[in-house]
Amino acid sequence: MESLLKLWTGYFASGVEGIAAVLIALAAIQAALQALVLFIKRGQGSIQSQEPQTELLRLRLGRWLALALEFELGADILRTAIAPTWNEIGQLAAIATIRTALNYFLQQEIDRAAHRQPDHALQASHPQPTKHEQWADRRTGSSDHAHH
Amino acid sequence: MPITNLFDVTLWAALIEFGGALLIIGYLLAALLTVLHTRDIQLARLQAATGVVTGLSFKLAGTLLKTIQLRTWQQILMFVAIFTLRTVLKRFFTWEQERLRHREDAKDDMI
Repeated sequence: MESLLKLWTGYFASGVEGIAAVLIALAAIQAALQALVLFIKRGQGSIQSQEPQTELLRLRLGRWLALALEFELGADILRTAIAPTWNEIGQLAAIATIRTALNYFLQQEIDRAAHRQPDHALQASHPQPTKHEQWADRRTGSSDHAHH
Repeated sequence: MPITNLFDVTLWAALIEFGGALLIIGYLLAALLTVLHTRDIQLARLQAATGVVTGLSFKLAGTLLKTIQLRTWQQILMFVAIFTLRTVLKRFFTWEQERLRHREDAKDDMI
């Protein structure tokens, strides 16, 4: 029975790592597409007006990566139950340390960027208002979406 | 489960650890649903951190239970290695959870 539980824990860990991989892939695709749009629009606006957009893009990508890293660390913790040899424990400890350090420095970068542009930081972390909410705001004459 | 297995510490430890694993999985799935529904990454991270911290507590409890059956130096050293790894990760997640909660509070104050 113990080996069965370990087997299932292994499957769970692989599943969580798969979800993290999908999150990273989607975030990278989204950021690449947005960067492409920004690059194409380069000729239309000045570089100064584009800089906040680029910063916002970096912030959003950073947040998605931080979330994915959190998932991967979760998978590492699950794997600590199925590491019977010294070699596997050592590799696990090394990977967990690397991911923890990555998460820490990524968060530092996000915090610094958010500190530089607090308005965009809020936008990047908060959900965008839906069309229905925008419509309701227009009807009531309120422009503050934050109350929703 | 046969009656002789009731006194098998390793089995109990494995069951407790599996409970912790289920908790981690549940919270991570909830975080995934949150980010898909609301697009609030900070809230999803907070949920993931909470789940990992709670699950780790279960896993640490299971690991402590295993100390009853430690006999050789090899087993003791391996136990220390896993215990240290989990404790360090728990420290990190608790720190991150506090920081995320603090940011959520600050955001609420701004609003």
